[in-house]
Amino acid sequence: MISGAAGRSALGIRLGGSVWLFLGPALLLMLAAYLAPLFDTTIVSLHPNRPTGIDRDSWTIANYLRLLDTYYGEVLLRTLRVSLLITLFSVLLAYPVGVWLAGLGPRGQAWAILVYMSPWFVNAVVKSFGWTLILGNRGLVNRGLQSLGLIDSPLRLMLNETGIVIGLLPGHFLFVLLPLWAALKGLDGNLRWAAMTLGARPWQVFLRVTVPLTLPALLAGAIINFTMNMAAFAAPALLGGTRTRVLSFIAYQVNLEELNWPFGGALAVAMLVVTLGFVMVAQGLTRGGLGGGRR
Amino acid sequence: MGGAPAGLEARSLVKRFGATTAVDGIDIAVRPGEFFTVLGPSGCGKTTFLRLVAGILAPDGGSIRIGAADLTQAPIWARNIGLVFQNYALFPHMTVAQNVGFGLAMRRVPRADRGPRIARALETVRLDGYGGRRPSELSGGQQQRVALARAIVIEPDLLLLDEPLSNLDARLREDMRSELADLKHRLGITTILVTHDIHEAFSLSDRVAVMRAGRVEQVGAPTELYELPANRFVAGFLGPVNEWTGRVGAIADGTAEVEFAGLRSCRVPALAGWRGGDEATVILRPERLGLTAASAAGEGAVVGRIDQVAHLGNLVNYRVAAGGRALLAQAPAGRTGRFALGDRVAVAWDDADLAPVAP
Amino acid sequence: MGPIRRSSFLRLAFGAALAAAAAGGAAAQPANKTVYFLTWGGTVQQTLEKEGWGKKFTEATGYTVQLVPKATGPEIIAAAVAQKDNPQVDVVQSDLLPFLSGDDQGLFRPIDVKDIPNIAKLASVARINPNAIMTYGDVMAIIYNHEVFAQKKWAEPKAEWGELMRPEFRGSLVLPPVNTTYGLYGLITLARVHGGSEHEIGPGFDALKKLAPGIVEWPTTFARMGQFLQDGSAAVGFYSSSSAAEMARRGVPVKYVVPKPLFFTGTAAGIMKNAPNPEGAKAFLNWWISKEVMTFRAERYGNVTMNTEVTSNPIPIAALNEMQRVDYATVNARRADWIKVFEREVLPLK
Ligand SMILES: Nc1ncnc2c1ncn2[C@@H]1O[C@H](COP(=O)(O)OP(=O)(O)OP(=O)(O)O)[C@@H](O)[C@H]1O
Ligand SMILES: [Mg+2]
Repeated sequence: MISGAAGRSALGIRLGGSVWLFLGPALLLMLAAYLAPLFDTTIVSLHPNRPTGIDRDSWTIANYLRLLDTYYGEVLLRTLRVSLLITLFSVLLAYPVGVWLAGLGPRGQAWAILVYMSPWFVNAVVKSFGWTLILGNRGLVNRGLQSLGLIDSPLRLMLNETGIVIGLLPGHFLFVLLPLWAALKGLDGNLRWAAMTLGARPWQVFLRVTVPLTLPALLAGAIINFTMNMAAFAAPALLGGTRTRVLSFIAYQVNLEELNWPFGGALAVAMLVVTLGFVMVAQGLTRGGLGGGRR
Repeated sequence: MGGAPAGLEARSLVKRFGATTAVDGIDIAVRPGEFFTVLGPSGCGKTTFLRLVAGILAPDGGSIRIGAADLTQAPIWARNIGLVFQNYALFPHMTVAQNVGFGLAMRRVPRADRGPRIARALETVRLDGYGGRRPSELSGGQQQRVALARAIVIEPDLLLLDEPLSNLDARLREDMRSELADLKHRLGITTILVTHDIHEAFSLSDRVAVMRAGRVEQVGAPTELYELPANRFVAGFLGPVNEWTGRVGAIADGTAEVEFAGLRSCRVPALAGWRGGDEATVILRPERLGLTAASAAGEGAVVGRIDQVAHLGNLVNYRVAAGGRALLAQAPAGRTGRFALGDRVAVAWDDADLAPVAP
Repeated sequence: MGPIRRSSFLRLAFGAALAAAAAGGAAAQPANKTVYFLTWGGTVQQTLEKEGWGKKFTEATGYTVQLVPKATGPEIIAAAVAQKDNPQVDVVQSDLLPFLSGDDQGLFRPIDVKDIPNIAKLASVARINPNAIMTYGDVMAIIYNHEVFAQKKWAEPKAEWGELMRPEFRGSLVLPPVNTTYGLYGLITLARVHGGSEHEIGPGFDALKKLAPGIVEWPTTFARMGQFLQDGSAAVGFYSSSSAAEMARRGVPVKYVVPKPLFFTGTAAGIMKNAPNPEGAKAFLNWWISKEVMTFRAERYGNVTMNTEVTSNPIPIAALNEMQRVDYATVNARRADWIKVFEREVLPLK
């Protein structure tokens, strides 16, 4: 995806034949742990669910037709909206933070990365509980704002989509930041000076050199971020609340509470298709757009 | 191209990085249209000097003028300087034409004018037809020339070249060097080349500054530096030398009689400050030492034995043990007058070729 | 491994990944002496492990019990369904409703007093069907934050379900959603209070719709409900009396009232068909419903146990005779539809 010297040095690892010896087991594991259940889920989603369990003798697309119900449509839209919003915020934050980070000394970078990773050191449930103490009606933010006299009644910062965005953004931001940071660090510093001697102001250097050269990394990060947002489960459940369910939670409910695996399978497949669709669009953007593909 | 070429005047430039002083009070004046080279060993501060001139680094002291303007505080983008980086620093996401056109776009040159100027610049570096390629699709030499085209297309007041040939293989380097020599005449841009390669410096430059540890040791035309190095460092840096230290005898009319133990006494132009009885150092380039068979030793010749021979193709280097010293001699590799290891030879020189140097 | 078995395992893996749940996976190979007990973690785990009753079981019978903990009743039954063809667990205990739906899928084997003598000591309501017994249960209670009540000078709630409709509670309510056992019972209760029943659920939904805009959140677990009651986001909710007692024990400033008519939510247990250790399973279930264990559950967790010999029940077992009887078959049959109505018509109301 990335062309040119900067891209090559960052990502252009050549795989020799012997690498497969090492990759082989990992690939097999991936096949067993991911593709096989996926295949199985797809098959199950094409069977009807009966009170006695999955009816494997008959086939149906009823589970997919049920997805057309407006309720699931709304949940899907909400999931997409929340996921895209988090990705958007992450992307907007990524350059300021990434550029700042890449400019720090090695120690500073290590510490800063640790800080950005810190959301992952805490279990999602505990983290969401912590957010409740901050975002709740009687939480830190609302009490602070109220004591300052800025608001009368508490702001709704959780148990809605805002809560999901706030809950997921810090952790998932990392996946946009890391690839961008690596790409920024991998940039030849002389490119900046070259552009400036040719008359570019710093913002022109950023728009015409830095961004085009690191956009593929940013987009790769955005794709990971978006996928994680779509699949997130615990934080949306706790910070979004029962009224603001997302698709992954509905899938969980259908599978484990309704025990309706065929319909749960259809939900999972739909989620996969939608997510993959978005990912492919994003990749198309990278390839056709500013990233500069090779002819 | 452009208007009348501008000169550069750097005065008392200082740049420190923490405890190291990379540039330690440099005074360099480059004349308009001159091809000027800063020559020095690795780490002596050449790149730092160039970056100060370009505005990439801010000096801790001193001033920089280009033409009539004091640019010491001017931002990089306002300096109108063409800089060719050691690693070319081409924009990998742009085509060759876009790379070359970048400076024009930044200068808001009308779109219609850019095409012809880009084409002309590419023609100048003999890359016509390569405009649509990406840098990654070019050889090292071609990338080098794109970098050059990108720097000259903006008609800079000053062209800065940071070791432009050091990343090329020997053949290419030779080609590029002669191309640069050509360009120098065609463009007439005031150019500063930074290098640690003497051949590069000497073959291209009108004048050369030799740097050591952040300071300029000597500035002058190549022959001047070669023949009359200001000190032992400059002498040694510009090529192998015979360096003899002896004792000053009588001084008359600016000429000193210097006695070299094991050799003979020679007449050398006295340096200011030499007194009778002082130690004095002179140098003699190996190619100025004549070798003949010992049997044919002339007057004033020293006889010794060859203890090292190195064939360089068109030249042969000899080391001769004579008078308790190791004398270096260089001779053309002709069919006649060849010596072998262990041969007894007579070594002769003309006192006029001896250059006194400060310690 | 047949295709069904494999798929079951995979589905479980899928579910586990979704849930990001660290709860223990399917049990290991059963040893002869080990009884695998699939039920909740929580208080059961506490009883068996921390409070030492697992050891007492071993001392009493020579078997050891290995808990296979899940978070919710439906998850327990989902795990049981997943191993239907090759059971790895012996005894299963969950909420009554999911248990009955599991029983409908033929998960459990008949049990009777010959194998499990203590069944004779259970109240007659505990004998649900040949495959299932009720071990203990809870009564539904209105739970409230007494500090908030004092601060707002609200009258303490009376022991009536209609109290939930008090207008001042708008914006301070937390009710479990209909897709949970307690939420489902709440719906039925509200239907009955307003003249309907599980056979005529409309009035229940009407009441829920009236309450919905004033509801802060529909928490799915009592712990989560406790969180909202504790931080003052909400002041009134309903859940089981034992959960209310547990909240208070954990420092949440709540009290509870048990409204009439009593609504009993049962916990059912049974033995897996083709259990790997049927003898151990019988021994365990017999021990589990024994006077000693049930007395402990009643005293420690406020469970209303079905063992008639237990004297420390929070509610005398005779009182259960006046409890509401629910047509479980109807409830299980209509449940999915009700959840649908709830999600579409009640949940979006704010
Ligand atoms: N950014 C910097 N920070 C700290 N020290 C520096 C920095 N840049 C250069 N130096 C130091 O300043 C001195 C001069 O460096 P400079 O790069 O100018 O040398 P140079 O003559 O260009 O060498 P070379 O021929 O190897 O390119 C060196 O000792 C170098 O280590
Ligand atoms: Mg350098």
